Amino acid sequence: MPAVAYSALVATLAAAIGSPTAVANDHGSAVSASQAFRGLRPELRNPRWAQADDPPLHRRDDDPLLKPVAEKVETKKAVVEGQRPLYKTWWFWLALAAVGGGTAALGAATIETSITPARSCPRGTLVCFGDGRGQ
Amino acid sequence: MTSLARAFRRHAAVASLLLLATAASGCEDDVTYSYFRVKVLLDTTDIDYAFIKTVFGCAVVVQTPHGSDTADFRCPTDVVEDLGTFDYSTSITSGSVTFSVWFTDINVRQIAKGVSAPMPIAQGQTTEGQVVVMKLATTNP
Repeated sequence: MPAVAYSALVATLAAAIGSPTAVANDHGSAVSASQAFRGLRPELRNPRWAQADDPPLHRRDDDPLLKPVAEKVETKKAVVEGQRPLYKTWWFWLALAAVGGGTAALGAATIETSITPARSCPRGTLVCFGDGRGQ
Repeated sequence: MTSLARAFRRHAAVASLLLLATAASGCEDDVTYSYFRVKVLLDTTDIDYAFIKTVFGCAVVVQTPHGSDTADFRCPTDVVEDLGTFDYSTSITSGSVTFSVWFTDINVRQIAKGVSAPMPIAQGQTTEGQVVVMKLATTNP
């Protein structure tokens, strides 16, 4: 009874992983699947590629669960490719020049009032005028 | 360093230089003035008290290498020889200036005029001169 149950289990497992239930050994004689698997090293029995949970790449586009994600990624990539860097836009430099020019003009206008005045008007003078003097 | 940072630094440096140049041109507060003290004299050969009483407006006009400037001053009421001295300042550093003094009557008609000789600008110094005002020939007081 245990031997029958063990044979059935091995056959089921072999069918599940798609392996032949019987393979040929190096000497050409047929061996059972359980015997073939038992002869392999543990890492070969269960290789890393067989452990991967991800489906094959060719299936991703068809996967209804992954499709929205793929569309989102494509949209984001298109947006990023459509945008130019800020410093490469003409309006950025125009705005920068406007701000800089305005600041310089404001500074110049402010400093204009602090220009060194001319000497004071001597007593008894008819009128003092010219640069550095208020009219 | 990313290309964005490099480009920003390069353009920021150029913009900073431009701003500094612009600001420096507006920050010229270290001005050296040149002064002119000009005495206004009346030609006593044809100007008398009767003529002085017809004077209503007095002005001085200065011609400089960069344009002209003008100022009004108090007209004489009881002086027929030496009106006094006016003081002119300029930040122009070269060239010469010429002063003209005008008298007008109540109808703003020019009745007397005096013109100085061209006076060279001596940077940072005071130049003295004079203007002799003479009655205009067409005047009929």
